[in-house]
Amino acid sequence: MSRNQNKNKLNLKLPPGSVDSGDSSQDQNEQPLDTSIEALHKTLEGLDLDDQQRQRLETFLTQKQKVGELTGEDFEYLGELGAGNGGVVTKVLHRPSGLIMARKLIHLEVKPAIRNQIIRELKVLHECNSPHIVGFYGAFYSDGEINICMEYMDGGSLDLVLKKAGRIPEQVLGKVTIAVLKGLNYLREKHQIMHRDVKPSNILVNSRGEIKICDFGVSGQLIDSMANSFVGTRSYMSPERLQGTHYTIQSDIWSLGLSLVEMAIGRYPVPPPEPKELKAIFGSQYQPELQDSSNDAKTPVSPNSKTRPASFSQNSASNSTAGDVCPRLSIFELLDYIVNEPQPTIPSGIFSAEFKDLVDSCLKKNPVERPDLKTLMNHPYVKKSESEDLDFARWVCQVMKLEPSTPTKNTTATATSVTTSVASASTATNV
Amino acid sequence: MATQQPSTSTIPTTVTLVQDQSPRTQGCMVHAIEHRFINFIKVKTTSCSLCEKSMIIGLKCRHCKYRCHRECVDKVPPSCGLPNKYVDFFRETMKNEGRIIINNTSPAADESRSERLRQNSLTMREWDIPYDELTIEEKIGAGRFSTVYKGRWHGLVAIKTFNLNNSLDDWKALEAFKQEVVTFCKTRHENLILFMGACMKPPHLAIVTSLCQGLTLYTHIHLRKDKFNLNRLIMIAQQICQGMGYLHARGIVHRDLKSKNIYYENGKVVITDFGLCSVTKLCHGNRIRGCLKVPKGWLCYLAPELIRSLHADSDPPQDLNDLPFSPATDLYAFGTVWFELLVGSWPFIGQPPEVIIWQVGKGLKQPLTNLRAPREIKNILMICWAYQPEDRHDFSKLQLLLSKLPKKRLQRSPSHPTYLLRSVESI
Repeated sequence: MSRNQNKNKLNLKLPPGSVDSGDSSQDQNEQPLDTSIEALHKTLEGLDLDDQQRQRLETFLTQKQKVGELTGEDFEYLGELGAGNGGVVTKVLHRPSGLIMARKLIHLEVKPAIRNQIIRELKVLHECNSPHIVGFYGAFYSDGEINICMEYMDGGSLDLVLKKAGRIPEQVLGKVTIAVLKGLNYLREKHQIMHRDVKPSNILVNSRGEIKICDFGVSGQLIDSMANSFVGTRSYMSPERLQGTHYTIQSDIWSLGLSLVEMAIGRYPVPPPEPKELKAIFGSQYQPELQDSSNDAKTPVSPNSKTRPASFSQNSASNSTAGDVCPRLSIFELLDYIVNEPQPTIPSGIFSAEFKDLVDSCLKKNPVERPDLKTLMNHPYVKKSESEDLDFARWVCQVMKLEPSTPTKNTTATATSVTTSVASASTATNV
Repeated sequence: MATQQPSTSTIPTTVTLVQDQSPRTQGCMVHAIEHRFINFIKVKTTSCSLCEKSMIIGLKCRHCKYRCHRECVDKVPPSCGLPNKYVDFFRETMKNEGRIIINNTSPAADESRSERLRQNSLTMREWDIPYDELTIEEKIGAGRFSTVYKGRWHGLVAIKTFNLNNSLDDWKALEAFKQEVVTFCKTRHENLILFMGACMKPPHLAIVTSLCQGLTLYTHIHLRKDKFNLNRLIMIAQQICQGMGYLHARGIVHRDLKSKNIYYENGKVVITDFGLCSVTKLCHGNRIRGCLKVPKGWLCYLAPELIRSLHADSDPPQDLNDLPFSPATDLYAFGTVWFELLVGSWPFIGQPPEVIIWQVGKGLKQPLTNLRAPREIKNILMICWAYQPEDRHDFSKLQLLLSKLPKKRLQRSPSHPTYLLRSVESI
């Protein structure tokens, strides 16, 4: 509890029911969801949805009503989707309803009281209904594991998509940016929560062309109860958060910016790729001369560069042909790079000025200098992307080799041009 | 026949004595028939079957006519009836395989080497506990590579078994493990757990120690939220220092000093789980490539120099025992235990691991502004948590500082060490 207060620098509040720990709140939480169509409409009101989004949300909620109480025995294992952050995610069939779900298992050895509190806290997810948030079917506890059942997204997470695609074209990233911004805005406006863990693996896509965020910090108790945490080779945490100072939703903006850079250049951008490596990624499109004159941040002489390990420059030189291989920094060196070295960026000349401006402003070291959600949603790049007619579903299906689940729109010129550029991108990285 | 034998001519007592001094190891001769020596004088010079030097007066076996000097008889294997060339062949084979020969029959040059080997294997054997002598009862804990059971072996004991992986052929690591066991068995201190021995034959690797009846400091502090008064805290800390000081004096680095490894019972502190680092090489841990698993409350015991060497994507996955542990890193960990005792929680609690790694690696410390304690107490924390390992003193000095602490809580302004938040560079 005290931990929640510490973390809640903005003094944001969770909806009632999420933080109540007394048993008195039990009855109130056990109340069945109001299932009438009117209630559904009420939930969806004021969400600024188009007809298709509204219809899909309604379908989801109607299907969810039929699911009822979830238990461990009702599931049939269909395959593993991924593992990370203390949990394994599997694809399962919920036999009573016939729905395919993604089931996340988190191993926990805790007292029943704590476990009930976690399940209660997770119930907030029932209220999170947005076209940009992964749907939630329910959570329960069985055999030492917390089970979280979510909507199954057949395209997988963007880090998997990125692996397949090599890099993601700017136009496609535009749609991703819009969806993530709307999702973050929804969480903030309707639920007063921040995400805290925006990264490619927490952005999911499907063959219907939907882009949704998941895994946001909704249960403080769940995080507190996990026996282990995992530190990977990539960190999306903002410099101010690493430094242990006050952090806000502007921290999520940094994470989004870093994710966009990673997906645009096809590799985690810390430490930044050398001109040689960029040349290998982008081929003739990339002009180092242009870089040097237009961008001072490139190849900076920083006070800390002396402390970098000797292997650093060697590694990046020898790996420069391999595109996605980063030099091996220790975890501390990586984090210190984020805090003390110049901000990551994308090369100009290859991407539009608007896109470059957006990521550069999101990755300002000083959180105050970063634009807020509202400003970003009116950013020229976002406005431009909104007006573009891009068949995201078709792109996802092509990259992930999926059968389109809905009839795709007429094959537009944009869609074809995107797919060809994707093909060229992946061949470039395969060199 | 035995009764007819003149007692002077047989030397059965000597033979059994030889047996006692050098019990059999794995590599022993299957053929084991004792000679029956009698006194023997030969006018024509002959040679000793063992050392091959000439002899006139000596001993001769009544059955197989094996002859040797009186001085050589101790070294003669029970090879009655076995032709000499077979004995030599056996000796050669055993030597080549690097095993220890039952009787020290090696030529004089090898004498000292094999003597050492024999002594070594002797101490090893002293601490070797046959696995089937143990009665294993309920499980009382589990670690990264091991499971701890309550059990019986001449009374109640704690048995720590290791989850071995398939590569049991790693003789070097096994040998290192045995060496460690021998070292630990020689540690004797009030505040250290008593090592009783180990099962050293794979696949059953286990360590047997005395069983701690009390609770760990972790249980006291974090689970039961027990509050100790200051005098009690100082006493606990002093005992930890005594145990650790002794350990360091014996050249052992604990590597995993934490409140979970310190038992407290009736005013007595017992430190457990020290320094077994070789055995982890034989165990399968859950080391995932590209990911560092961080157990809760682990990072805050790691000194900056350890934190800075953590890798997530080394290939092969980083063995945590390869981190640069030293007596100074034990001191840092002691500082964290001291903090837990004073505050009742871990430093940096609730922070994501990345945040802790950057801050500790940078020399930042948990702010102590909320800790109401005399300056001397905070100074001890600062000495243990010094960024430079050489600034961390040693346990005997710490103990001196602890003994000088004011015994009664002083009412002082709680807010002096604001400088603690600054990084090393800025000081």
